[in-house]
Amino acid sequence: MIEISGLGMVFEREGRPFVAIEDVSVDIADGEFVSIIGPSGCGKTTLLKIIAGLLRPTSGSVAVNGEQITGPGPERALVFQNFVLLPWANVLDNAAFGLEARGLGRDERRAQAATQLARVGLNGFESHYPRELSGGMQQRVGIARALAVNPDILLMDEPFGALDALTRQLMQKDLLSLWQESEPRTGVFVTHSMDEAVYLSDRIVLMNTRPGRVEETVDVPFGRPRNRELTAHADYRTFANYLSSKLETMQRDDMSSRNE
Amino acid sequence: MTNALSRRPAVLGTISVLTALALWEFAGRRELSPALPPFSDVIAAFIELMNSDRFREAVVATAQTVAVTYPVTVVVGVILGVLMATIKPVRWALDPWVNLGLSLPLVSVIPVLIFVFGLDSATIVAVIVVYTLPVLIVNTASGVRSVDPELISMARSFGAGRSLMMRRVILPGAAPLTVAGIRIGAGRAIRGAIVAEQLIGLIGLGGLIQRLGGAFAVAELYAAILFIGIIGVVTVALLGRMETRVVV
Repeated sequence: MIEISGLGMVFEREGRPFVAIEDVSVDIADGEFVSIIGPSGCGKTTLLKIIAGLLRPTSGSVAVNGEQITGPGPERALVFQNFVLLPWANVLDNAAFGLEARGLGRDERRAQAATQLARVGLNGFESHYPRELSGGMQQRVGIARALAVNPDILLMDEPFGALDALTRQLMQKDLLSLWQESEPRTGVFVTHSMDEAVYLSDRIVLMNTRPGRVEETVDVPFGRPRNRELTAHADYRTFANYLSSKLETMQRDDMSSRNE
Repeated sequence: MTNALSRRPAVLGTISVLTALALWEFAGRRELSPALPPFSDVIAAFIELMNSDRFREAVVATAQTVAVTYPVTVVVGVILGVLMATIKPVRWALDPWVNLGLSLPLVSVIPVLIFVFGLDSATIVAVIVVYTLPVLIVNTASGVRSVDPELISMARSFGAGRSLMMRRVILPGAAPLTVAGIRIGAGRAIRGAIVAEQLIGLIGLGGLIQRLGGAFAVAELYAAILFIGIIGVVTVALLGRMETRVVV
């Protein structure tokens, strides 16, 4: 259970205070997959970084399993938009990094990392270096690294945002089946793409800009297990289109208010 | 085609050196100036010098001082560089000294060091330290500062401790600039040692050069300079190869 209450974050920008997010309150249940979506500058990445414990909020709090967080914790793991792999370490050592940080011995962490790499379809690439892999494969290493520490909560910051459309679709499909096949865990997924959000999540948090805030929380009315066929369904299209147009209106309002 | 192109710098370099040496030989034989003996005389002097005891002793003295002092200075410099980049008060405390060390002309510092450490190898050690430490510190510190902050966030998000952060993230990320600093520093260590020895005038290769110059042994003088040049180029090239291996 993640309880976000009255969260606010004010940065200093060019000497003036800048409100990144204001009074954000969301509860995320155990095992729930929640997407956070909104126009650029709505503070969705800031929100995720606060949940990850990488940023300290200026007001409000985040509690995980009833305990207020003060920094990163072993029950949470983060997948980054730009993969953020160690360029000087091979795929296996990259995937084992979180386990190494937990103090696991070399053989044990390598064995566990190899299992996770196989799960994301990267067996045979253990001794490759990140620069030798495509973006999609690099992000698979990022996902394996996060899964290796067996977190209760997987935090994903636009994990497919840097990938081409085709790779992106494949990654969504693989993430979905990975999610549905593995032990239940909580997912918080930041994205720009409404299709992606609807396809993957149980619930969608729509955020708006200036200040970054929660506009609306929407339940996704499709059960699990899901697969690609869902996206061809008329109900799915209607729902995704409805939310997309909502997002578009928010973006337009933001643009016109900037002109004033 | 590509092979020939990629070899062109080496080919042109060789042609350029050979042409210069031929001109030197020609000019030397015409006895234009006592400062310009024929290159063949220099080669003869070089061979003779290499076989002489005083030359060997001089080389060993200089090499020993550099080979002992510089690696220790590298370790100290890298540690100080990391501290400087990661702890602000250390940066504030060291910054003025490092900048001073980078901008002071070596020749003007050596007399002070001779005054403090005397006319022996203690001064050479001090010169090597003073001349290379700032470069090592500055390069390591900028190496550490060049580490991608996202990698640091990533390591933090997985709960990496201080030691793992250093070993796996900071030091490998800082390695390219650090090794560049070590290469530049090696050149400075050799130069610094020889210049200091020359000013002291009694010990090592620099002392030998000083004595050869004083005795107007021009061909021998060129031979000694040639030797130093070759050693310097080889050292820096070897460290350069190490550098390309480190750069990812």
